[in-house]
This record gives sequence, structure tokens and C-alpha cells, in this order.
Amino acid sequence: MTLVIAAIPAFIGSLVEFVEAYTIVLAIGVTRGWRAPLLGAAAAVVTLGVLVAIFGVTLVNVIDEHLFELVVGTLLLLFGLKWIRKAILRYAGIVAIHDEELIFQREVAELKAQGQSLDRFDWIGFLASYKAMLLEGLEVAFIVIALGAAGTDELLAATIGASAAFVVVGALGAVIRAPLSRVPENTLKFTVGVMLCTFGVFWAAEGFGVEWPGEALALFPIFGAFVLLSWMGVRMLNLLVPGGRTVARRTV
Amino acid sequence: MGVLRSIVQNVIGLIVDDGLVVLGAIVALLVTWLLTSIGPDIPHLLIGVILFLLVAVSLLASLLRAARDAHRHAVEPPGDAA
Repeated sequence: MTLVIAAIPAFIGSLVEFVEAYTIVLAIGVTRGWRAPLLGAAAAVVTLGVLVAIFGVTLVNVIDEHLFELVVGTLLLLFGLKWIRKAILRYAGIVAIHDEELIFQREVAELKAQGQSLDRFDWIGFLASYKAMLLEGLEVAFIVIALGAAGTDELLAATIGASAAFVVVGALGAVIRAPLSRVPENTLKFTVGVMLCTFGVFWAAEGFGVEWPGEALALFPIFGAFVLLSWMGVRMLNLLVPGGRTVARRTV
Repeated sequence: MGVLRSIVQNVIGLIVDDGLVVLGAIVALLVTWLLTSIGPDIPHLLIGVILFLLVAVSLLASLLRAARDAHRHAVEPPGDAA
């Protein structure tokens, strides 16, 4: 159960974020050489590891159980709602689907325009890569800390899930050497969003002293309710804005 | 400095995309707190269901607002689009 609750959402959520970071690192590597962007990405991973270690361990060891459930539940709920909302808007065509190929082309064009210094260390490539990995990775760190804050086992499971996603994206990227545009990012983000909202409602309510009937088994109907709610949301938007796809094309 | 600003914006952006959803979720949590504080006899399942329903309403309200904005953009003449 620990593995299911912490590792799987951490893996899926991290996969999406690492795919987005990989696209930018790839663009930098292709246009400016690989040494600086790889070092930048590695430095960002170390920074994220430190953040997870500090905040994760603090949450696990210091905060009272009910307060922890309330804080983490609230954060998970808000974070999950953000992901569900965006995924629903994308399913309805109101917001454009994330296009890794397009983002890659834009990054390459921007980086080429900045020129390159061949005789010195490429700080532009290093910082661009560090920033991309750090910004995308912050969401990973947040997911790992929130899902892992229930205890040491959970923190370990969430960290393993996120690390596995990093390895999978890195391995795929090393083989393919092109944007991972076939990864169904919106579906993955939607799935994680529903999971985070489910845990968020469950833990926030427990933080207020609510005892769910069936305890952890209550997660399943809550999950189902969020899936149903999202389906209703997409249907509602399709009825209200039948030209949603046109809007998305114009807002890219 | 630019990196630092981006990080701060990203941290806030982690949870705040549409303020209406955040506000709705916070109201939902406050109602849950009130119910558990003043009504110890209220069945816990009912409190959980109320929390979910309030969250659902805030999400649907946010989607409705997004639909209204999208509809407004869709009916603008092409020359007026940003």
C-alpha cells in the first residue's frame, strides 16, 4: 500500500516533468554541446535532492500527525486541482496540448540566436539547463515531499518513484535523442492530478479528525468521484465551447 | 536574480493557477473544520462528502469561468485576437 500511495503517483508525475525538462536540455545539447547542459542538469538534481532531504525529513520527524495531514492534504488538494483543471481544459481544447516538438524547435532557435563561445565554459548552456531542470523538478520535489511526508518508508518509496522516472526519461532520451513527443502528457497529468486530489481530500479531512469508513479503502470511491467530476467538466466545456479546439490553436 | 525570481514564481505557481479554485478549496476546508468543530454528531462520511462536493463546485465554477473567457475570445473578430 505504501508503494502504491507514494511511488506510483511520484513516478507518473515526475515522468511528465522530466520529459518537459529533457526537451530543453536536449535543445541546449544539440545547439551548444553537451558538457555544460549535462553539468547544469546534474547540479539541479543535486539541489532538488537537498530540498527533498531538508523539507521531507523535517515534515516526517517534526510536525504533529494531524497538522501534517492537514498541511499536506491541503497542499496536495490545491496542487492536484491545478493539474486536473489544466488537463480538463486541454481535453476540451480550450488550452493547447503541450507540444514537445514545438517547444524544442523554439528553444533551438532561441539558443542559436544567442551565439556560442567555443574557448570557454558555456555558462549560458549550464544556467539554461540548470534553470529548466530546477523549475520542472520543483514540482517533482513537491510531489515527493507531499506523498512521502507520511513516514520514512513513504518518503523512500516516493523518492524511488521519482528517481525511476528520471532514469526512464534519461534512458529513452539517450536512445532516441529527439523530443519525447509521443508521451501522453495530458493523460498522465490528469491521472496524477486525480490521485493528488484524492489523497488531498482524504488527508485534509483526517487532519480535521474525520475518520473515513473503511479507512484507506475510502480512497477508491474518492478517486472514482474525481474521475466522474472531471468527465462532467469536459462534457460541460464541450457543450459550452464547442469551438474549443479553435481557441486552443489561436492561443498556442 | 532572474533565476531566483523564476523559482519564487514557480513555487507560487505550483499551487495557484486560478485563484477561484484556491479560494473555493480553502472555503471547503474551512466549512469542513467548522462541521467537525461544532457538530461532533455529524457522521464523518457526510463531512467527507460535503468536502468533496464543495471542492467539486469550486472546480466547476473555475471551468465555467474559463469557458466564458474562451467563448469571448472565440467570438472576437480575427483582427482583435491577441
